[in-house]
Amino acid sequence: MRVSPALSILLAATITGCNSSPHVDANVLSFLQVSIIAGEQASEEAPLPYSNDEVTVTLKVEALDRNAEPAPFRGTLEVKTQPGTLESDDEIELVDGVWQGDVTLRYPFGPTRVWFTDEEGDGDGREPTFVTGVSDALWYDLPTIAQVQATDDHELNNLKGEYTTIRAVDRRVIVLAVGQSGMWVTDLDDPPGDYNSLFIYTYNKPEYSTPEGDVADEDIIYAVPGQRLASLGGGNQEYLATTQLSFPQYDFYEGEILTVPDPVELEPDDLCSDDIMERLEGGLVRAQNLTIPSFEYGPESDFYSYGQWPVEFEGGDGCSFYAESGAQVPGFYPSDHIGESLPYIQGLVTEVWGKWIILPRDADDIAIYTETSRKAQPPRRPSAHPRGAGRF
Amino acid sequence: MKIPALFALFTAGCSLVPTTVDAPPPAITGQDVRLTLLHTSDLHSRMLPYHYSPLYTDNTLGMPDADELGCEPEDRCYGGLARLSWVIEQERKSAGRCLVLDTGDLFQGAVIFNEYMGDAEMQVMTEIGFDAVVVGNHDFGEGAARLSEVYNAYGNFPFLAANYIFEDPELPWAAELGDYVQRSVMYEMQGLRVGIVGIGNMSSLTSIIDEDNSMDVIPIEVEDAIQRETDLLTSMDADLILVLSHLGLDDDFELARTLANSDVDMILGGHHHVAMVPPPVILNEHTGKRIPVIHSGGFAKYLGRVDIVVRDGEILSTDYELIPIFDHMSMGQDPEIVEILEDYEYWLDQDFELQQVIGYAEETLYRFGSNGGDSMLGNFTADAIRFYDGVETEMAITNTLGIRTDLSAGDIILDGMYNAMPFDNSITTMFLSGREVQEVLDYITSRSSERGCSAQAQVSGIQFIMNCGVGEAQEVLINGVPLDLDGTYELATNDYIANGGSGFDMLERNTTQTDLGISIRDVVISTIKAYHTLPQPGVAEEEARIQVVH
Repeated sequence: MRVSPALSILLAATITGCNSSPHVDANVLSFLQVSIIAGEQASEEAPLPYSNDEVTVTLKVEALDRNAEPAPFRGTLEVKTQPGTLESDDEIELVDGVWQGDVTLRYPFGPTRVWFTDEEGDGDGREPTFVTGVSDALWYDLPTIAQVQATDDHELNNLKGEYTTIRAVDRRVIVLAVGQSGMWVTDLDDPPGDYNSLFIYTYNKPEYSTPEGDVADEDIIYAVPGQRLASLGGGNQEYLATTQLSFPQYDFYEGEILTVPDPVELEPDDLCSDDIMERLEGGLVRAQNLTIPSFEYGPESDFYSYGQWPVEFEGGDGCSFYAESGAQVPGFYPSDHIGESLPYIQGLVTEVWGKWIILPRDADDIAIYTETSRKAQPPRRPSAHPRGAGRF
Repeated sequence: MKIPALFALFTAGCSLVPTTVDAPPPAITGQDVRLTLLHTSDLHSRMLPYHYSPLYTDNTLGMPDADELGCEPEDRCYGGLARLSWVIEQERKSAGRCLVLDTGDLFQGAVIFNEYMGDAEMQVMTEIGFDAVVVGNHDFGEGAARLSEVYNAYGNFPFLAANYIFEDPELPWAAELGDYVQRSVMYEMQGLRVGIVGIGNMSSLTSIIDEDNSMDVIPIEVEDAIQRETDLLTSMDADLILVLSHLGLDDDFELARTLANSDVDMILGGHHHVAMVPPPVILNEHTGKRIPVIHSGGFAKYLGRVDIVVRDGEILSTDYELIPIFDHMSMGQDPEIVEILEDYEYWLDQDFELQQVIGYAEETLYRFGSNGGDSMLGNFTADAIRFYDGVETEMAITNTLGIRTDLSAGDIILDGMYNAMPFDNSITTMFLSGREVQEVLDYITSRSSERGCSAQAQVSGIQFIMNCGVGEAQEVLINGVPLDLDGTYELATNDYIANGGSGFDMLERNTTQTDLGISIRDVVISTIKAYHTLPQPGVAEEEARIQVVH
């Protein structure tokens, strides 16, 4: 039958679902009502502090029938939280239409609601209804960058997979550096080098915007280091083991530019510790007294494929690391400097599965850099992460 | 009298709570009500399963590599509407109130469209039972008249676009299509009323018109269109209003952020083939409302599932899952869809021998360069155009997005070439001054700088530095010699950009154009057959023809 709008508007709205039956149990579960019995709900204006510790609330779940009257429902409900992680059992049993008990959460932020769903049926032939009830919002503050980043596992962060809104409005969160496909941000209100930085992947060079809206297309203004963010949120991912917010939404405080902090000095042994490097991820660092060891730069090399070249501390101290400079310092050919001293290199810290890489922001970040004639060099393959992942 | 296709009220559901047919809907006021949305977009005629090389981002979204699955190209382990339909059915069974939605571009992207011009797509979408589908720009790929014809023949789902007007007394089918395309639709599901507004693409209108392939629609302001429909839906007591958009990612973000209308609760979008997990939630600057923006990818690679809990018309909480569609033990195929498609597949195979092996790729031939510059497949395509018998120009340029997929490592199957090059473009030659060449390359650089500094065109006979920082092409060499601004050069390109597509206005105004009528896809296929194994030194390799500087 052709769908004719003129006719279909007249259709009665009484059709049933795919698994529907003409016979009905009047007490069938139609709604779930969830109440907060114990545990502070707080409010949007005065939220509870964010914490990475567990939080327990006591909730009551009541089954209701189609008339919103109590229903003597007995069955299993699935439990989950949005956002955050459920630490307590992910199933509860409703008896005589009621359940009351504790639910333990971790990493709740913003308006957090606990879901209860009749998802499984009971194995005795009762089909699930998929009826769902959620708690009223439990209001928690937003996490700081450090609260998101601080984990024991350098390949994870606490809110991976969540659309993560960062606490910025009352913090001094600033742009640390700007690349062609994103920006690095840091929270000046936390100790430097202690999980307080983060990469924001914007695909194109990040634009400046304020709560009043973007600037007009014909007058694009890009973000610059030091600008203070008023808000920041995005899809939380671990891209090649580096935390990033993708498809971000952000605004700046208009005209407010703060001083970009000095790089954190790297000690040789720091590079030997994933834990220490993870604390520095996304942040600005400087390593001194270095040398460029011999490395492969043929077609099969990391340099050819990704523009990454090795750096060692002089005297063989500590652990070596990599630098990636092709996009931001295109005139620098590390293969010309093998065996030479490198007084310092500085830049942003990124990780590719346990390989720690420093991304210089410009030529000034590589101490021995001197402009080399492009034409005198063979075609250089600029730096690249695996496809679509370019940082600068 | 023509009855405007303004609005339709339907009923729908998945595995709803058993009830009597005569029973009144449940009293949802003040209660939590769950709604499940199953979302696809940009199917692009990928009715049949296919082979491809998942990117790292696909892997992170749960899509395994072919070698993990033990799949060879001929196994076609990914996508396919029979698998998608099977998954939709499973998800319907694990949902109460449920809508199946698509955000446009059913057409163009596989040989089934080149040959049957939408018949299969319309049949399949109708069989699956989509509850609303937005009109995408590629749905006009064979023209509005054909869209009208094929929808009339096989379409039986609400086809939405509130921001298009189809009115042209010279074109009788335009009015017919106007009757088919609705502005919005409302579903009532066990007491929950969900209004859906469709918004078609605006950014492609210019290009499509420029290439003399007009969509034959009159666009109207998006905000006005949404306001008009939400007013209507609100007057009909809609509890929830969804916008199905084919505007594209940035426009969807902008809409969510700036829309003064406070009635829109969620935007489900398409056009850019992007899957966003987790989906962004945009704070509307006028209303303070948090509006989720959902994009679930393209090519039937994924099914997006959104679960919403609504109370008194407000979305309280949202959960999102992206389900990858690939061949594995627990995934079946919908026999009804298999049956619809097997005739098409049989005849395509008879006519085209689609599974024939035409070459071998020793590694995946990527359409985008690893560093944003020239690419393996781009170089191969541009070279194939330039050096083809009877073409033989000094240089060639082709738009990167005219190549729609990579060619995966392993046997190169003819079918894959229709996926990679679905458009029936032909080779056009023309003469350009050196200044015009510079203008073209500057434009490519400028356009690329707005797209992650990833080259939006591929070249042959040309080398240049694409300086995204300043938006200029620098140090341009033509066959190794610096560009002479006063010189004259012969260019081969495709008829799409020759006619101004993708903003190549400087080519459109060239009066020396000759359309050779040679199919670019055929040229590339014959060139692959000639080389057989790719890449080879100097063939299908990245060569720093386009060097990226930021």
